[in-house]
Amino acid sequence: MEELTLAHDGTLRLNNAAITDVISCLSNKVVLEDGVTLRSFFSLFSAYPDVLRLNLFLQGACSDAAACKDSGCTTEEFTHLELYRQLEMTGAPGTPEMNIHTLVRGINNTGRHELRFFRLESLLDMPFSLGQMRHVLFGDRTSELYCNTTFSLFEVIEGIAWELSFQGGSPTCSLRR
Amino acid sequence: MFKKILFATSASPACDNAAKVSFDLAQKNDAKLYTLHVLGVPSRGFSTTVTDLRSGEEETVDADYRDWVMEELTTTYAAQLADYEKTALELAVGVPATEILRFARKEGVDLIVMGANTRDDDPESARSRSIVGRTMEKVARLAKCPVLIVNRPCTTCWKLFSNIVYCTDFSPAADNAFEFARTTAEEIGAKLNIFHAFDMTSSKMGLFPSQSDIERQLESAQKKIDERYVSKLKDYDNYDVEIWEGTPYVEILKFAREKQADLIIMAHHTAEVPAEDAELGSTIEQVVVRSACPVASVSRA
Repeated sequence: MEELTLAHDGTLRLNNAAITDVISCLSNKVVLEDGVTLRSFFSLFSAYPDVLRLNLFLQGACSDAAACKDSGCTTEEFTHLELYRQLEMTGAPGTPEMNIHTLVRGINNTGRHELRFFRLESLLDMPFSLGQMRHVLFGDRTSELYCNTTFSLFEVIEGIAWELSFQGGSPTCSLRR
Repeated sequence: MFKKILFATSASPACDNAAKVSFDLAQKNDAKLYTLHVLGVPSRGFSTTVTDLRSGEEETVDADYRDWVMEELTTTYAAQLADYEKTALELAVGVPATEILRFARKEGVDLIVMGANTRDDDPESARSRSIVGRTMEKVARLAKCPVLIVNRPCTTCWKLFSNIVYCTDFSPAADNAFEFARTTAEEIGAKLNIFHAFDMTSSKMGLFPSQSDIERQLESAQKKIDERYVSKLKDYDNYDVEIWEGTPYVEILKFAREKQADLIIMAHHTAEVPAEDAELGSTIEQVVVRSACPVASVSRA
């Protein structure tokens, strides 16, 4: 699979050439350059507006991001943000089921944490990385296995868009206690 | 407004936000608050052991175990219990949804308050799946009273509600939900935002509505809102009507965020099927998991 490289400024390169048609590259494997942050993805969305059509919440998230400061949008609660894949298998009771989710979490020394209680103004400049696949088997005992994996451009955008759909709302109601 | 409120809790941190709203609400209404924790599902038949919902371990339901869980509950909600005395802590054994519904019916509660799901790694987790937890779904479907779903921290809830968003698709179920929205807004003195999102995603024979079709639909929706809802508000003038077009759940969320809504009130389902047979509508499901404020699901008047 050909590798797409996402640069810090949100540009995409394939075989060292800048790409113009982003739709044809959605299935390509993504590699992140050093220094990529969540803000890099917003630069990507504005450089390639076609990708905004992949999720109904992306346009609103871009407006929210545009309203944030140009730099220093970080939180001390996390060391970085990580996109990872979770494969879940459920056996009994009921019909056996397998689901795959692409999720973004905030990482610190206590583990992975949800982002919905953090506003974009504290996340935009956090370092961003691509993580592993967490394979979870739900049964009498839950077992899990972490494997290395790759992500396509579509999965990365969809995973981020999914997470961003939980952003927004009244700051008063979003205050963490 | 409410005389008896049931707060159904797994006593896990996921229910903390719902706890805050429950106690606030009970205090504001001077209502009796039942805090119900279902110990777990009996392992088999008439077994006396249960699978503890918090630890996942098998436990024998005897006096010691009950006392231990009751003590845990008291410790978990110590701060709230100290503030409000009209609270009863209750334990039950069984399938959580069934026991919650049974208790609500027995005590004739006016409102059930719950979190949307229990934990992030739960196979039924709302967050990971975009659907709400199985217990919440079943309770919302079968409860005779409104169910308030609290999925986020909320610092202002109920005592300071100022913006209620009521969403309608003009189904009979939505009309029932309006009665709840109207009385709530009037009692609290909150602004009532009556909102309808014209569904642009549904096509007939592959044809999507033209601009003139959309405008006709919006006009018709305005007329329906005037007839069905505004006419019932009588002297209450603290309301606003808005009609947007798009994907309903996205528009509802955008509207609620723009208005800084404190509470969203929706019908539990919209299709014309008996409440007992209706799945939780996909629109309310999506709104529940993404909303920053509590969502009230109303299945009956």
